[in-house]
Amino acid sequence: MITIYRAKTIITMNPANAEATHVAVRDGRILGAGSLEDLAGWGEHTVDERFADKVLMPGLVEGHAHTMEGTLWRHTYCGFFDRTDPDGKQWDGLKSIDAVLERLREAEAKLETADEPLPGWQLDPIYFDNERVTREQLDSVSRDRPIGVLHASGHIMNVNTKALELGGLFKTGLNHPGIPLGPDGYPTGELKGPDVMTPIGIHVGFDRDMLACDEKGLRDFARLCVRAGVTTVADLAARLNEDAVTMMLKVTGEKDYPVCVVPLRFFHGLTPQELVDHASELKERRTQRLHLGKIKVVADGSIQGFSARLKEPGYYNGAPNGLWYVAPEQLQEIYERALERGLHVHTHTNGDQATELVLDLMEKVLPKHYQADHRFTLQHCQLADAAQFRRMAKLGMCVNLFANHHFYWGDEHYNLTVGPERATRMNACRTALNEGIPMAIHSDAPITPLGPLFTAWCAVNRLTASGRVQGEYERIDVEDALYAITLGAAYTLKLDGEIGSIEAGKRADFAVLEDDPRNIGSDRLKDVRVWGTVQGGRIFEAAAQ
Amino acid sequence: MTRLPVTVIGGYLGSGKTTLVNHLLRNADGKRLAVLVNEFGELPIDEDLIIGKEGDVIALAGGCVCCSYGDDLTGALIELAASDDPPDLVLLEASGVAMPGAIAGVLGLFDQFELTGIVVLADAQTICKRLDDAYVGDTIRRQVRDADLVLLTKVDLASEAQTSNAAKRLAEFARDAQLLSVANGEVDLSIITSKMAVNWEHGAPLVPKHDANIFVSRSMILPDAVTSEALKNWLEAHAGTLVRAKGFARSKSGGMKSVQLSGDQVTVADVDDQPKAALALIGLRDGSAETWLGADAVELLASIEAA
Repeated sequence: MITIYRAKTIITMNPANAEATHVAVRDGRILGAGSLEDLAGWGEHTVDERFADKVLMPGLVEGHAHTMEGTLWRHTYCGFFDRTDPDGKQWDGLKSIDAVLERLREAEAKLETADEPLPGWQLDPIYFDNERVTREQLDSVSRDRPIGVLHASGHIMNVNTKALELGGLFKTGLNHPGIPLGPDGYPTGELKGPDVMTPIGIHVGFDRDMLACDEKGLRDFARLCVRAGVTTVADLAARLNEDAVTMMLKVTGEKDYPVCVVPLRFFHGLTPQELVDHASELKERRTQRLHLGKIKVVADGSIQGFSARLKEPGYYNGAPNGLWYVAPEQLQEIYERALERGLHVHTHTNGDQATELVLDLMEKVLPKHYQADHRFTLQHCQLADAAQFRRMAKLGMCVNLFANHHFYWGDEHYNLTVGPERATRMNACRTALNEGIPMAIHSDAPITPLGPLFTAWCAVNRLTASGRVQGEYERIDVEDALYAITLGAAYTLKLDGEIGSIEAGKRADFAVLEDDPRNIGSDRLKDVRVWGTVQGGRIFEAAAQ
Repeated sequence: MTRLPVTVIGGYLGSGKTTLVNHLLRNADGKRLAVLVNEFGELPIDEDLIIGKEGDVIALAGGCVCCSYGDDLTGALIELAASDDPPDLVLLEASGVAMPGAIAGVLGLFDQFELTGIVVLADAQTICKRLDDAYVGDTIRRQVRDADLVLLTKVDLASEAQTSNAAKRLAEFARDAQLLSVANGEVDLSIITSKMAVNWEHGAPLVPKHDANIFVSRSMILPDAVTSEALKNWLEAHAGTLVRAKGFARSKSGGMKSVQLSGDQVTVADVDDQPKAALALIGLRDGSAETWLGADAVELLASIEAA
């Protein structure tokens, strides 16, 4: 059964056949793109006109997100920016702490039982001049039920008095850097870092494993993907215990599950040997829509949390250098063992010293454990300088830069964390491309909203939330940005032979758009309307999700 | 409520945590220990100690257990606190790049636990090189700064020069920690778990009885006649033979001062509270410090007073 779809235009991302009007699909595979005449030769077919006024692109590839966003949407959205939930409902951004409290009150009124917790997410005090939410403010929503609001960074939570009581922390005399105290000697309700968030988080409705995504969450996350035109998404990262893998195999195997998920095994809590053993076992269990068997390592923390590892001259505000989340010797062993076993490793580095370490280690281990096409990828890699990009190129590495971060926290980096010069060159897409490094750009959803076309807009325009262009030199063209969110991202996942372009033999994964991203104007790239997706030949309309 | 004592054991990779923990399990003196480790693979408990393994828990001889907390330390602590059959003591092994002080801070959130102290291990052979490492040097310094007791390990494998250089480097920033050298990971459990923070006001700092110990130390209450000025002069005169010293004494002008020796520097500072006048000294056993640290207290005090 061959279906030939007619479209207004098809952007194939295949330079040898850049544009087409028709694409032929059989059993979820692309037979070819071209004119109806070109494709009719494949034999008996039906012509499907439903996309006749749409623009087709290769299904968009999000190279770095977290499926946990699917579960977060069951909590109350408290973010500063407008954001769309899996049902397609747009939640207005909240422009003041009062507005946050008001939304929590509305959500509170809907809760049925008296002691049910009230979790919220995506609070970001930097947009409220860093004014902090207090325990008393959340008490004004409810003193009787536990309330906790997770910050956009994912590293801080504000809770009310009831939550502190349930967690045994409503007392004086606490001495922990992650628990600021008020003038009365009691915690203010702000909890910084997973160590102190976890014991309270479980009382306010957050899972102990913050990266965890449950069955409903995984389905909801897929609906977000359809709205964003995404057909393949990398989930960085998950613990992938047996229960989680069984669940993910089941859900992604459902006949109408609309996205291919690429979950990377998180390194923490395992020895390098155990890690590669587990990743190898997982690789054997790969399916069409659950691409298991890759590894994610975290080398350092975050720049805005001052836990990233920076080279000289360090943090602009004089903060001490950040933290390692893996010892260099362990990281080396992971690389060596993974190279020996042909496993693919992605490493989170935010600070430039963390990036430097990875480059040093790769230089050391590659000659001994040669793998011609390892494609080890640096994730975030926000602060890399030109010399480091040159080394990445020599070492055969890929990079996935955090273009969205530049918009949401660029001003913060400029003013506080790394200062104007380095903030201006952060997430250096132009430099990466100039050096010929395979590059993707990402949202890190839920940290920022899933939406590769928005991410592309960020990389093209490099605007910050305050409206400044920060780093004009590092801007990239629309064409380069579209490549980054399709073939570029697919390459970093070693899936570029399978997806990322519309050409013969590849999976029939399309983003179905109402507008042509090449013509809408680079400043409006984020406004391109997404009708839905085609994944493996199956059609998913966003409005029906 | 009886609080469960917890000792945090930190230190970089290869600093000897595994050897130490195995030694402690072997010499637990009938105490039931629970060892919490980041991951089992990092802690190959000696085979002969293992009775059985189930999930995250390894059952060990003598009623001891070893649990891996993976990436969920607080979760493991919550479970341990809720246990019907709590152990006598918890040894919490931090991962190689973790900040033991931060882990101790987490313990402080739970009423069920009582921190006995933070032990940080440093390999005498490699610590100087590691401290100069551009990537991990500052991490190790921060770990050592968190310590109440620093164990300089593998002195049986290190040269004398390595050991003494390592001790000097560590003493530069180990704050008030005790520094104790260790061969073959052999340290008494009582030393590891005693309240280790030096009580500069009252008691003597812990002086472990160990053959490989290269340090001698002594503490004493100071009579009013010893001024902070005299103490400073005396410490400066003896700086070459001392690793660390800290004392409280009244200055000629009447204010209470802290007087500290670190490296070759003596620093004098005002103190807000009113500690008792006291002095603690730590010197290298192979230096001339041994002579005066063993001297008669009256003579020693007279020599300080006259400085």
